[in-house]
Amino acid sequence: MTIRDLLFEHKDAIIHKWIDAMYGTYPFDTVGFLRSSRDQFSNPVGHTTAASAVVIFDAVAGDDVDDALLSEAIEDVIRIRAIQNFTPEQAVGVLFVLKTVIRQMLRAAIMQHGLHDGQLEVESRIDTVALLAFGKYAACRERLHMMKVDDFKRGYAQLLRRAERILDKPVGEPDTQKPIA
Amino acid sequence: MSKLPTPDKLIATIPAFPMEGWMDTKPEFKPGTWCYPAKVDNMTALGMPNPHEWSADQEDWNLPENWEEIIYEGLKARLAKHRSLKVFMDICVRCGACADKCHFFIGTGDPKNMPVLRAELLRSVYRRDFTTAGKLLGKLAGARKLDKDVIKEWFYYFYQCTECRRCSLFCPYGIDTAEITAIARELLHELGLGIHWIMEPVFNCNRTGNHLGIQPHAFKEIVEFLCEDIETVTGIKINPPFNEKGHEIVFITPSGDVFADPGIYTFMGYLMLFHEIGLDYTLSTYASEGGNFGSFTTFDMAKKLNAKMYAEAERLGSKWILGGECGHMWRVVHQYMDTFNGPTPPKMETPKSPITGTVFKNAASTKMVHIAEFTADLIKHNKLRLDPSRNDHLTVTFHDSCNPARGMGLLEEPRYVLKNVCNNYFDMPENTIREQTFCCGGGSGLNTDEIMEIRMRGGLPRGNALRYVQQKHGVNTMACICAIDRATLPPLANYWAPGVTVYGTHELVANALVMRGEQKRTMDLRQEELPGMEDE
Repeated sequence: MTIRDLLFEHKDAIIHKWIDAMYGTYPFDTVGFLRSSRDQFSNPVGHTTAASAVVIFDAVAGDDVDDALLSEAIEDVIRIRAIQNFTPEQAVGVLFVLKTVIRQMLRAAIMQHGLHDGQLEVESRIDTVALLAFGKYAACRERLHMMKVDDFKRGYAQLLRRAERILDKPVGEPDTQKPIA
Repeated sequence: MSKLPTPDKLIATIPAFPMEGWMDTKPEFKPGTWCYPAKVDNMTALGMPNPHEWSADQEDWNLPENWEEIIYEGLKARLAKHRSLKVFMDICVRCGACADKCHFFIGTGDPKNMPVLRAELLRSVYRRDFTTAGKLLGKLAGARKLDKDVIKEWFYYFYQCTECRRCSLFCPYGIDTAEITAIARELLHELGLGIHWIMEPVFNCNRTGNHLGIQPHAFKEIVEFLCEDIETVTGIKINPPFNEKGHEIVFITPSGDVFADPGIYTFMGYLMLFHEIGLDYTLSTYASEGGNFGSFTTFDMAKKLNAKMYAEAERLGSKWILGGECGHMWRVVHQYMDTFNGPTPPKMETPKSPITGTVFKNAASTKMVHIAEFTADLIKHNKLRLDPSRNDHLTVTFHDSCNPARGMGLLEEPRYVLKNVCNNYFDMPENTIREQTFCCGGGSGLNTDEIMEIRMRGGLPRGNALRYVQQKHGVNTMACICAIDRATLPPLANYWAPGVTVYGTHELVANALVMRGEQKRTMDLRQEELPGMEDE
């Protein structure tokens, strides 16, 4: 018995509990909807969370998951949480909850089979996923701020063009300084 | 010194079971979740009631002393005026059919963004003051006392509704939440609470005719820049008429199409189309904004701004109005214009296409035709020479803008046009388009950058469907027929489906349009090289 075997034996239950914990970061009256609505277009948050959880679980458990696939799965979840009503810790921290879920559910079995080294490896992989998520969170927030700037530029595109023609120089360039007499 | 919390504790935002009922849960005004207040000067100039300094993140919003009376009287007057409001307040059985249909609920996960609960914010106050059960039983009958926190809550949630009316589609009684939001915003305006992003365009449209307050000479100059660009791309020089009397048609479109990227390319598309078919039209610098931000403040303001269209058609002696690609402009035209400012000036006539002879009987009352209908009719009658292969590098989908789709049923015409000017077209999934279309997240005056986070939350369902067709069919282009969409969809696509570019429908028409006397097209309207058609 390896830690991988043990994790896959309990895969559905672990994922279920982890997803529930992620849904639990939303208001109580919303959780039922996230859980029960199956349509990926009517319930994109629930659907994305559940779909990404499976990919991340496989990678964490020790499967060779395609890098791009894993990256996308992490990004899909983080892209949503990065703009929702969460602190940065809350947005990214749900990945660490997977550790707690595994510890709670498999503690006895890990002890019984002496799989502590394997557990540490699994937890390190969760740390890696969380670090990747941290990068994606930062990128999402940066993009959000760039979008504000771009929004402004687009909205005034033709006025800037007119200003440049009148001033005969690109907007934003400082005026030529007059030499001090 | 204290013990570090565990990750589980750190992320625990919400108790497993709420400690308070919804009436006692207060919104938190974090940066990025609320719009900046309207300027006192603008409010004063427009004659809006109780203009004053305030900010949503402050404890005290400086409400007028008799604010409770203002709300009571304001609601009473509107219940008497709008029979629909009275019905909407009484008839809801809280079945929940609308609950999960709102893009803001789906994207925020905030229960108060369920349309039923958002409406309940107003309904609870209505029950207390205007129903016997509410007066007698209070909270038991779903009534609650009006206090300043309720006002704050209204501001928070009625500016997280884009009046898109998707929820109304699913309501068995047809309750129009957009109208509830409109009335709630009217009541907030009675207290002097408006937002800058809406009030500034209203002020500008009222004074100079367009949303940025650009004066006629500069407006004309900017249109001429675009004509220079058209000449660069096609070799054809166009001189559009401005404010000229005696033309058959006055063309009115959102001014965003003149000033903002990528709307300008759509505007160039209109000019090229009109030139090619020899349309007898004029532009107006006075009625240079088809969009009506007044409709996001009060019905009276909507009426005032809308009036300039007929006034200008009458002054210029035009027979009918051709309207550009816009969203809420068409809701106002289709649903309110006749009541607001009808009947039309006596010399106006039922629109008839001078090219095909088609009579637009559907516009007999307003005398205003949507350009998607007009162009679809031209194509149907084979009046345009089109080379859709010029758009072959684009794989296109269409975002149904809420107002033309749900507000006036314009579903087939834009698709018909697009399929004739593009060879690669794919619709997004069925439950995200046509009548069920998801909003861009920035309609009803919410397309301001300070709430970019909120916009992205509201835009999540649309972005999710867009990403699906991007991955499944390689869609790289989203076409639309709304100027607000052209402003809000680029960041939405950038965030949710990077790699998708937003186009106005008539930009794609003009790319495909084969014009008499044109030079060989090697560039599209954005002056980007057309693959396979580069200079030899």
